[in-house]
Amino acid sequence: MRNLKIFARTDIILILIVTVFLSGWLTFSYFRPTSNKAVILVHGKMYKTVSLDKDSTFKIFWKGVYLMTVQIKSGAIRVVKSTCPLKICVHTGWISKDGQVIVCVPNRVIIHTEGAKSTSYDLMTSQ
Amino acid sequence: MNKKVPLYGLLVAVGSAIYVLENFVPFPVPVPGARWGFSNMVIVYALPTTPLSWLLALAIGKAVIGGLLSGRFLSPTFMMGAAGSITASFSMFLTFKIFKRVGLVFHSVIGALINNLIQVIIGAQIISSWAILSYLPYMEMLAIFSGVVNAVMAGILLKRVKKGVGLR
Repeated sequence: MRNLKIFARTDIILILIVTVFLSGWLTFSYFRPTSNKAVILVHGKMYKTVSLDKDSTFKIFWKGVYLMTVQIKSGAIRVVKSTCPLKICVHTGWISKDGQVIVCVPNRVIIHTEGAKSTSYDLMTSQ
Repeated sequence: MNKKVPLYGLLVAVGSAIYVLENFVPFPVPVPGARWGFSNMVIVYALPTTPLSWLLALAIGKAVIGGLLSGRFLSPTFMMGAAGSITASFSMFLTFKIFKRVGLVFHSVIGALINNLIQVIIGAQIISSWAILSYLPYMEMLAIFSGVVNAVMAGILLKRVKKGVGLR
């Protein structure tokens, strides 16, 4: 049994490298363009594509069974109410950036945002 | 052998208890089925003195018993946790054999990073969408935290029980 160390210098170097890499990744993903469209998949099938430009609130049904209520407001989308037990989808909150996702495993619903890239470039240049 | 069975049985019991208690700690990333992974503490504790087969038995044992106790046996959460801690113990065993001049935190953080990576990959398979990968950096940030916590706890325990009936 060799002498056991809890912290060695290498450990701190590893933690620093991984932290720097991850913060870079997070900063990069923070500046992703905003989407103008959300795709809703239920049971792996396309359910609805909605525009994020218009504020609205609607319910999702699957084979006549109520699953959840979804709200769109000022370019972001969220799940307001859901019938699932853990409410992970509700706690996810608003999503608006390209490639973000709300997942509800019990109801098998996936909502992900999609950006029309040309639109976000136009917005960036026109502002 | 006759000494190993009760000892690892005890570690499986402690691991399962942490597994169940961990369900009460909120996980701040909205990935379904993702967990902190504090129950891997027992694997980090056993790491310096344990052959691979017993490490894997520990990982499977605590996933199965913890899963049964928390009512999540064979659910997506169970699959993610089991796959995560099996690959994590395998990789921790490898780094422990290869790297000789690093501390316990190194192995534990590597294990936690791989644990959470596997959790996200299995989660993506379950919901059949790779969009969940956008949460990977957050998951890995938390992995560093839980890896350090596991290593410090297990390391303090290892130092304290050096003269006791512990693992050596």
